[in-house]
Amino acid sequence: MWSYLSRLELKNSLIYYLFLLIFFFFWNFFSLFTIYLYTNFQKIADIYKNRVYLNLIIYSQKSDNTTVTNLVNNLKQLLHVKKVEVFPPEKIFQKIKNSLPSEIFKNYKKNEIINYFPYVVKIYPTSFKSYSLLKNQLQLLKSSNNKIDIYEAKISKMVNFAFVLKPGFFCFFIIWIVFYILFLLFFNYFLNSFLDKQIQIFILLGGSLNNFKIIRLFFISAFSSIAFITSTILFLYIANNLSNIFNITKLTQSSSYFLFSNNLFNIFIYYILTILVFPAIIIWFSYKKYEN
Amino acid sequence: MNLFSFQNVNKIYPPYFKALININLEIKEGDFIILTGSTGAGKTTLLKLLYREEKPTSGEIFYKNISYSELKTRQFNQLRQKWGIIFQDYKLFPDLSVYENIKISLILSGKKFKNMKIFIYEYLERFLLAHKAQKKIKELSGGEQQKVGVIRALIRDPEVLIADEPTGNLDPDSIKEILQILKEFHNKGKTIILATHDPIIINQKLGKLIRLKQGELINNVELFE
Ligand SMILES: Nc1ncnc2c1ncn2[C@@H]1O[C@H](COP(=O)(O)OP(=O)(O)OP(=O)(O)O)[C@@H](O)[C@H]1O
Ligand SMILES: [Mg+2]
Repeated sequence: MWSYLSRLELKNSLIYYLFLLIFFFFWNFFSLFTIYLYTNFQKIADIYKNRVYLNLIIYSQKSDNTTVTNLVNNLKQLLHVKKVEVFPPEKIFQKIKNSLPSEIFKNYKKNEIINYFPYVVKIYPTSFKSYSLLKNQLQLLKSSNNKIDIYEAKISKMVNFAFVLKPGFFCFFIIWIVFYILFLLFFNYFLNSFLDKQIQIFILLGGSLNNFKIIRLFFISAFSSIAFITSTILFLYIANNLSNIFNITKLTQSSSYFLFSNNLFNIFIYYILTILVFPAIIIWFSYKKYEN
Repeated sequence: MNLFSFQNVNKIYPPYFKALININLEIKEGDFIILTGSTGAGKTTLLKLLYREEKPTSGEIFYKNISYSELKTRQFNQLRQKWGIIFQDYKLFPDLSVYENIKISLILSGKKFKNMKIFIYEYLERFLLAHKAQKKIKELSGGEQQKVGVIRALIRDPEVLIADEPTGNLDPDSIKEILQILKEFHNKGKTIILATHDPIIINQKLGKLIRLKQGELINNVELFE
């Protein structure tokens, strides 16, 4: 009987099952890829978490040395400040002089050039969480002093972004799963109405709906599994190449293969949920209308 | 005890077409009921209520004194497995072969056979259809399809046979064959409910004749026996 049921189920709807296969291929690929990007981003952010800082740029004449010292002393008193490093114009000049065009040195003396350079003060917050509080305080300071500019280091921006991203990512992922569930709902209701006649006949002959439910679950799982395996392999291949290109492997000291095999249990749960549990619930739900 | 009974059953097809009006009917085990009436009188509707493809708008139907509304889907399925239903619109699986359509019916009936294939072919032979056994339903003529629908129900040797115009498209030889089998069933004490306006069958005077007119039972039940 199962062979007949399989034929009834597949015969005219193979194309829709192929559609499911393609859908799940991309859905799964995109899921894994976003998780990959997200976790790597968070990992890197984690590594740099304790190195965030803010740059304060102070435009001041060299003679005006005392204002800078005063300011730095004030900064040290601030609540969220852990450490302050001062880079006088000379140091800045040393750092970047090789990248300056040589004409400048023909026309100006070194001291004259240095005069144009600001003081740079690197301010480290006590912890990553106080970063934005510190930023607010400095913004206040800036509004009362027009010789000051705040410059956020790229790393700090990134870490901060990673922090903000967390809830956003979870929201996105829930929506992404809801999207998949809606697709499954649509798929099953569509297939039911497409195969409505033969379902009715089978029931009138005394057949049980459970047979149809089992066959449906079997085929959905089979097609999704094929999509899952192929798209996961593609994902691993691409992720590994990307990790090598961007040196993420070195940075986080774990390859994506390693990450994958380390998370086998999570992936198993993900597989069971998306390929067995969700479809089973939705199939059960979609056949409700045939029950009295 | 009544096998089936209808109590004040009304069926209104939306929005307001009254297909059956206040039907009261009792069917006993072993009854041979012939339901007749002109086209559109409501014969098919009454049978659909009986095998629960449709539900009554009001009133109740009982199987052995249990209301249909109390029977769960699963319980009703088990009943249907013991029944044979011949549908006016055949209700065959168009993509499966003649043989497969019949085999599914036999499997679902739960009967065990030593050699199902031979059994099916013998039955097909009886209706001169054995040579079409491997043909798909959609490749058959209307009459041939009707034969398959009939065989599918009869071959189960059901306890209850519900037949809706089983002879509409058939030649006299096939009708004779069907009548023969119906008589056998009747003699074995099986319950038969047959809707038809085929004079050949009605003139056989086999059982109780019940007439429907525009959705109403006409109260002159003729007893032939
Ligand atoms: N699904 C439906 N929706 C609306 N009206 C229906 C539906 N099914 C049947 N009817 C109407 O109910 C009436 C009875 O239909 P039914 O099929 O029971 O007649 P019948 O006695 O079996 O006729 P026939 O001898 O032609 O088979 C008809 O007038 C028909 O138009
Ligand atoms: Mg009819």
